[in-house]
Amino acid sequence: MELRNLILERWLEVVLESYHKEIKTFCIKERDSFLNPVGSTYRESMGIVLDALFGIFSHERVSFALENMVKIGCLNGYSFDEKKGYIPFLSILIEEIAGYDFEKKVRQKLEKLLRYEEEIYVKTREKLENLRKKPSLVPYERLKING
Amino acid sequence: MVERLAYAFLFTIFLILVPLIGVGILNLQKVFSIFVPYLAFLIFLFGLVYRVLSWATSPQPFKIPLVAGQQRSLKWIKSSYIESPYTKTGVFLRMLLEIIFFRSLLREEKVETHPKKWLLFTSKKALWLGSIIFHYSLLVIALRHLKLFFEPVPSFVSLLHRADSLFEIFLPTVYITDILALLALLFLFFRRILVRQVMYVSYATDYFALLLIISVILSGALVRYFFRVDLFDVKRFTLGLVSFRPYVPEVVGSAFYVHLFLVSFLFAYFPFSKLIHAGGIFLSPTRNLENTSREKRYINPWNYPVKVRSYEEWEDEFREMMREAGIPVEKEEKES
Amino acid sequence: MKEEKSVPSDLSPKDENWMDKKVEFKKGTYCYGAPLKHQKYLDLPHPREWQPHNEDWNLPENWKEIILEGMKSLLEKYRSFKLFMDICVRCGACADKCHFFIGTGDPKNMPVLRAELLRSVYRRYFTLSGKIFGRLSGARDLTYDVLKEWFYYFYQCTECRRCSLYCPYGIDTCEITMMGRELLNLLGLNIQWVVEPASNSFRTGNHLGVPPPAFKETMGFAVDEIEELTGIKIDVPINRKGAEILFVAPSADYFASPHWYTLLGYLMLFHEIGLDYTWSTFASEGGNFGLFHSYELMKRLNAKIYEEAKRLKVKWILGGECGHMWRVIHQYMDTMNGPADFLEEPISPITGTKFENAKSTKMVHIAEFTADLIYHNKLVLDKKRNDKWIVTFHDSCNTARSVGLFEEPRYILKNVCNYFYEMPENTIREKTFCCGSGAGLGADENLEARLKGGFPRAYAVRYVKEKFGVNMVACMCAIDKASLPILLDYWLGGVEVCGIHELVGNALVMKGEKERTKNLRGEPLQREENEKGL
Repeated sequence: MELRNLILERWLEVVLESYHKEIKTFCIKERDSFLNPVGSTYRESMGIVLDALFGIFSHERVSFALENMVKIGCLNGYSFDEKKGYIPFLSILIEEIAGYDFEKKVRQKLEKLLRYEEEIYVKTREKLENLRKKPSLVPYERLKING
Repeated sequence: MVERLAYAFLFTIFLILVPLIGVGILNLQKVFSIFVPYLAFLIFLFGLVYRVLSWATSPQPFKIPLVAGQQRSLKWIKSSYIESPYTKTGVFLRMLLEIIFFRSLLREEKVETHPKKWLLFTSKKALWLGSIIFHYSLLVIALRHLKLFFEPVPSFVSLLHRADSLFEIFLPTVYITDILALLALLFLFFRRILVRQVMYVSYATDYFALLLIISVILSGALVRYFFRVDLFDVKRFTLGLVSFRPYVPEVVGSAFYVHLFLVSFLFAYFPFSKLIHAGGIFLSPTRNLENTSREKRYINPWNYPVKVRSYEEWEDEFREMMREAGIPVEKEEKES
Repeated sequence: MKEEKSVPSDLSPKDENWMDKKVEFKKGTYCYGAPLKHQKYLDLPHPREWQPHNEDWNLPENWKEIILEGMKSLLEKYRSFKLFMDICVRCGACADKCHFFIGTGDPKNMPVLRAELLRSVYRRYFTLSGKIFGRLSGARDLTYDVLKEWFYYFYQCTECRRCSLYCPYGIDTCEITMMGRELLNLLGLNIQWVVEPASNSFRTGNHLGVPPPAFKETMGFAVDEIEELTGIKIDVPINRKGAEILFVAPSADYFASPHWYTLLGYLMLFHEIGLDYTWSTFASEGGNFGLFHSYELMKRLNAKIYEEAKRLKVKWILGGECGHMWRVIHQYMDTMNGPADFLEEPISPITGTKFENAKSTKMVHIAEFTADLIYHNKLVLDKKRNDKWIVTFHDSCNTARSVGLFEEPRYILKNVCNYFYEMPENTIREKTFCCGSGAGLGADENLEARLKGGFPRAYAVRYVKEKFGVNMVACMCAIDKASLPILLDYWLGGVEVCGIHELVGNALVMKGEKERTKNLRGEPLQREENEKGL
């Protein structure tokens, strides 16, 4: 459990690195989740992913958690690639903290997670573009057709 | 950040050195005991009047209270007398809460998901607690000083002295408010360094204001606890100041001059710095207006006519279309 | 060392003075400049084609003078401005109260810093200490970069006033942003999403530029839809002189979705109680994008409401569900374009209730009106027809913190639906979070910024969704209705958005109606079997 928490804190720090320093501390420390949805969402989701990694792996829960993280990332200039992404960061951290042997043990799961992340990333980007195009003035369009 | 802090410290030290050199080396007792206090007080007075007048004379064009409770509308809906005031009394009470209890800093942030609710509560309220302790301690300290300006001493001031020195463990008496004020100031000071967001928005002047008040209190404590100045001599001096028969104290030593100079500087600095917030809060239009905008017409003194599009102009553009669509128009009615 | 490689270090900002940090116009975070045509139509100063991301903004040569002159004049005109420039102590109480700060993590979105953008310039040119101590006392020169920063951050504030609630001096960032935008407008720096609707509204009477025949035609569609649903053919009076009440709604209500269903709700309600009222094609817009631009434009656009009420000889005015429209009507209209002495004090023709709180402005909010009807048992309501929805209520910033409409909509909701749950306490009522798209920021090009700004709101909705199965957010603001569906779709999905009067329309039992099988959206009244598990 301690290992999980250690990794979680480090992971959180690394991911929030892209935020302004002043804000990073806020996101990590502010415990009121409604005042700090970014930090809380990351914390919660990372917890789910790590639990899956160390325990029972549920596709549904893990995808949900990754999706929540990717959604925040996509609005903040994150783009997925094999080296830069939530799961790649995690892999490096695990190897660093728990050692190479441990990483080997969970590598299969990590690879699965990596594929999920990629999938979710593509899906989220698409969604974002669709939302941008989505006209909110539906009946007006209809009227235009009628003349 | 370091740079800002350094400037604040340097300037505070400079201010402390001025009277030390002025009195200790240059022997300018008269200047520092008479000229400086009078000048500072004049600057304070005129500065304050000028600032408050400059706000009060500029018009508030709209009634823009910030509503924090149910408006008064239908009779059977309970309206919020203070949070959405609709009477002068309501506004008065709202201001009172704001000024006496710092109401806005105390807005509850209830959190349902967090298991250790109380922990969160205290950390959120730290700013409120710190500022309440600081301001009230300062008030008591100021009132306590009235002892020096009245002969005989008013009974409430004596009472205050007694209440404030409940712990008579030390000799001379250590005042509770001195300690509280210092602790609160240190909290506010370190908050500006340690809480990153607050640090980010702080200027040198923000640190300086805190350091100045800390030095005022510390120098006061030095005068009282360590150098044990002759209080009779001090009182003769202060009474001389207020009765315009200035008297230069003889046996008070340089610590007293430091204290006096810092207090003088604080007074003179007050109107031209952020410390003026104490006066501004009374005029804040989001707090001191009633939420009765639709009930009573509010007048904007500079309300000027603007170019609008009149109905006639508008109908001229669309009349044909409207007629065809069978929408009633003004001109057609006249024709028929 | 490995993680250093993994961390995108170029994104991590250095420890620096905020004054040194230049603004970067990243795609997705800012709105486009206004088209020349509309600037010209409104006679705005220095009209030209320009875009915020251009290096050169084609400013007039004496732009500094213009800004400083403008600032001086605003300081003389607004006590609020002068006071708020002077009394901030930077205590930081507001810092984490802004939804844009919470969502974007940009420190300049802290309300205190947003205001400091203006204050720093104010100090430099208008105060003694700023002139002497310069940077140490937080003063700085007005430069091109400062101007760009102003534009970026004053168009990243939705004027929701949440921070002001927590400020010990009541400093209102909305006022600051309004002043900032006034100044920017002196140089012709304004955005498409504000100026275009404003210009449309000036010309045609409504934001969408809908000409009168089209207005009538849409009302025709609404009549058809209601007939299909209820079997009742209702009448929609337009420009009818001598009606008792003039009804003004935001134009989105008759041209956007899901606003449309709220419109159906209004029409059914008015028909059922036999209200003597009229719509107007001239005052066919309650919303006022002038509020997001300048005092003058707000006044110019608002004038038509009273003018039309006078022409149509109505007794008083009823206003539809809208947010900033109600800010203008409640706190500005009477002062700007009053007195409305040609109107009468509003009295509900159905219940006889005198609306004392609208005695002078003579305009009543429809939530006040409907709540009064329900209280006096004038409506037959069948709550079961809304059983498909598990509802929560989103307080819109303006009707909450500027008007104080908290109980009326809740009273209505509790009377028209069976399942109503509140979001957590520090995210509703006076503490409500903005949708992230108010104050003219509801454009497409800044979608990322809007979604980030709306995250705190979405997060609170997610909480009630998970806890109570909420699947409908009711609100009383046209901008909410346009932006929340997108926001909620992105962050959680499975939650829809509606107006209060859509739910009223669903529940309203009308005389002589056929058995209703569908709600106003044309969906079955009950949840489908497979959805019930929620």
